[in-house]
Amino acid sequence: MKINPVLQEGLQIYWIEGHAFFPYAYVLALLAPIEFLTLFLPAMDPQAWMGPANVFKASTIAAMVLISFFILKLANQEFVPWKFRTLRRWVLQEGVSRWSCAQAQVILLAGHALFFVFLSAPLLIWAGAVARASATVVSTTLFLLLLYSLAYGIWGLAAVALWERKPENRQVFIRTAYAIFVVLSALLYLPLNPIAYLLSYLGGREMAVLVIGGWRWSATGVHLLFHFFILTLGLAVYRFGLWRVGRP
Amino acid sequence: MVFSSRKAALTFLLPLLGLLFPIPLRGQELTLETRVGFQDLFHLGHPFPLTVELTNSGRPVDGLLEVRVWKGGATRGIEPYLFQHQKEVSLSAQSKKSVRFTIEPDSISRPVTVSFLSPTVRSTKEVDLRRFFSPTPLVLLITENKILPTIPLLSSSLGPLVSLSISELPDDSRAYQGVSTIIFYEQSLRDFSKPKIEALDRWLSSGGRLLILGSLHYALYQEPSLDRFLPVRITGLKRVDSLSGLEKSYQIKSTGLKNLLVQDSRKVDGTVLIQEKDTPILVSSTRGRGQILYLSADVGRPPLSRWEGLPVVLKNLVRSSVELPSSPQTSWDESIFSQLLLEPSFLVTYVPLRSLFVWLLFYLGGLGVLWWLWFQRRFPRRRVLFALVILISISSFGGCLHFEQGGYMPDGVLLSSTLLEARSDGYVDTESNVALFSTGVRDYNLHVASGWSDFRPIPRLGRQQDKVLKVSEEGRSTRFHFRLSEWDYRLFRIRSMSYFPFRLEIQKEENRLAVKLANQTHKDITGCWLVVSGQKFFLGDIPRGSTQSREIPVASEPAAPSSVFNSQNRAALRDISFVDKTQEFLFRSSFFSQDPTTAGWSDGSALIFGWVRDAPRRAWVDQTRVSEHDYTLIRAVIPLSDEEDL
Repeated sequence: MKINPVLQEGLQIYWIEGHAFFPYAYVLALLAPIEFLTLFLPAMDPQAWMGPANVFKASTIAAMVLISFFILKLANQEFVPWKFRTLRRWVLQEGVSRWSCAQAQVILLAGHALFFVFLSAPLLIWAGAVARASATVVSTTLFLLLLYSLAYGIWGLAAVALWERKPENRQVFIRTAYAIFVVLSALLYLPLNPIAYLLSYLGGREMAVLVIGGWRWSATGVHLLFHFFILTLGLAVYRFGLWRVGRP
Repeated sequence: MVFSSRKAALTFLLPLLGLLFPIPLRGQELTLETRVGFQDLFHLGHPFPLTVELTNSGRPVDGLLEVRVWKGGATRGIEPYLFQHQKEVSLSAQSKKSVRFTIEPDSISRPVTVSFLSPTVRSTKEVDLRRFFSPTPLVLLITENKILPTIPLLSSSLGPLVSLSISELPDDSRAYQGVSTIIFYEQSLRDFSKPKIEALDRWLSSGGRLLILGSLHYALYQEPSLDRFLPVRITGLKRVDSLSGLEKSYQIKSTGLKNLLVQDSRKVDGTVLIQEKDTPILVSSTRGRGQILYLSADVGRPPLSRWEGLPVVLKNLVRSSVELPSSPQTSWDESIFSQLLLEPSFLVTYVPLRSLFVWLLFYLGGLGVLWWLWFQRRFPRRRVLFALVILISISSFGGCLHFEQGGYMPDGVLLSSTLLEARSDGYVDTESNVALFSTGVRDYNLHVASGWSDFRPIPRLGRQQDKVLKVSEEGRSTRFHFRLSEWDYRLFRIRSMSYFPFRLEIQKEENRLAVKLANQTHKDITGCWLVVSGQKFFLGDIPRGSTQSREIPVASEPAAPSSVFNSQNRAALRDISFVDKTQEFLFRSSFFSQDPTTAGWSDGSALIFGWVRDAPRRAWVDQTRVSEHDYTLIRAVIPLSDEEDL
């Protein structure tokens, strides 16, 4: 069986040579002290904040913010970019189909997402045990982290496909996208925002229901739909970018 | 014979219906009757007894007798909440039972609800307390057969006089808090039960006054039950020519008060205030905050009963007010406990910090080793990948099991910090600050050792409190049942008076202090300090049963001017540190807070304090997986004049 060369290149660079280990290590190196120090550090109001009670919330939010950021950077090929052959070269010179390129890059993205979530899982599970979170809540949180990683990470691939020769454009684009997804989405409707949603879900509070034209949409439904929409839209933009590769 | 179909139907169908739908034909089977206070009187604002008489005219029944009392409200600075006094009651057929509660509603505008609840019987009664209250404290007269003697006690300024037999006395010291004076006259205490003696003792030491009036039946006063309260030992009767000392003291001269019989006695305790030819007539002794007065003459019989000066004497001996609780000597509120929760020394009691750190090191270290092995290529990469999966699995599930099942995460933490304020006669004012902190949602039973005089929940700002506190008496403790949500806590303040003979003597000389410490308790006192004139001296440990004498040089230079807010002694206290940081936190924030209103001492006093090791438990919970921590500090404040002792 002939292995997809784009996938082979990704496997070689990211995991065999170990260049993906650095973002994984960054995430863990930041997440571990955040989790541990959350137990001690008093917030602004010690009467309202209790570290151990909130350690799972704080760790989950930190994990989401870190994983989303680093998966966007990975997908955008910001780590050892010189080692990757361009899509243009794969398609035009190596004769690899656009579909194969897309397949390989999406598999690599999913692999990164899984690695991020699995490597962070022990820390999150311990935080859940300390905060007395149920197994269902911890499992759902890990699933949500996986969803966010894929939904946001796909925009890194889209950026590579759209502006392959303009790394500065890509960097500005993915940071803007990151800011929109993680921060600015709260301005549109709070349940769209992953931080707000996670805080609400882990705090056991129901968010406001969205009512449009007599239709009532639960906050969870809207949140999941929004992220599936982001994922689908990202895939569509990525496909468009791939379609443009090698065309004048 | 005429056959009636209607009669036949009634004959056969009615019993059948009766079998299918049993209807009680005798009406209500259980009645509730209540008796409020002492002979339908109680002192407003103080606890009082409520007796519930249950009469069962039906089959045997087991149920829960409940008295619902409203507490809190605007006057107490806490949201209104229900105090549910509960008692399991078992009634046999055709029987009566009397159950006594001690209740203390914070407002009498809402009625007290008494109900008996069982699967078969439900009976409820509301009691309007407004008909029973007295704005002044009560005076109880305990006489044989409840007959009021011809004692001219009835003075409007003294409050209502209630005559009782000893069987009617409650066995809970709190029930006496609205009573200013208890008078014993010709009363045999042979049948006085131990709980009643203990209750009377506690009430006395908490500030009650006991007046024991002598009688010609002197043998009654030689019974051990009464003898334990008397400041004298009764030896018999003695005839005296007059009571000139009494007349002189009250400046009432009478010609008729001659040649009378009084009880002969010798002093064992207290002070003889009046005596006639070496016979004590009026003797006073103290017990904690309370006072015992003994009058050897028989006021119920002539000639003393006809003496015009007797009302004045008795008015002087009977107190017209009750001892009000002093302001708290310690600080205890939400802000203090929320800070304590984040203190690393206290955090480790409910979060497995050390093991979490070890797991973090194990996991991150393991990843580092695998990373190194990956690059070194000493092992096949498939094997390293397999090791990674194993490491993640072991870390995830092993750590989780370790924290949750290994007992490293308690369901709750009970912290009690107790201040024992030593008094001169071996009694201590006890103030226990209790916090029950829960890491999960669960019900708790907080037990408070019997003898407490006040139990108050501390309000929490901006937080909805549980509106119900269930209370039941359980032998040697009172059980408070309530629910806590996860990461929630409730704070309480418990006060009592107890006997803890830790005695101090300080003699101040020119440049030195002679300090004598006698620990006659059953507990060791550790880490004792003396703070005087802004200087601190470590006195060390004082083991149980030991006495130590020290001579301490004191600087003779004049003390710098100090204010209430910044005294020298306070400054000296700030320099004292402890190995246990939770202990230190409580010392600074609760026992000796910077709030000047809570400290009852100044630079003109010597302060001695130490920690009581394995202090008797005052609050505990009966649930497992709740870690309990107790800190008990005993302190004595001795005003320094030329010679003082405690």
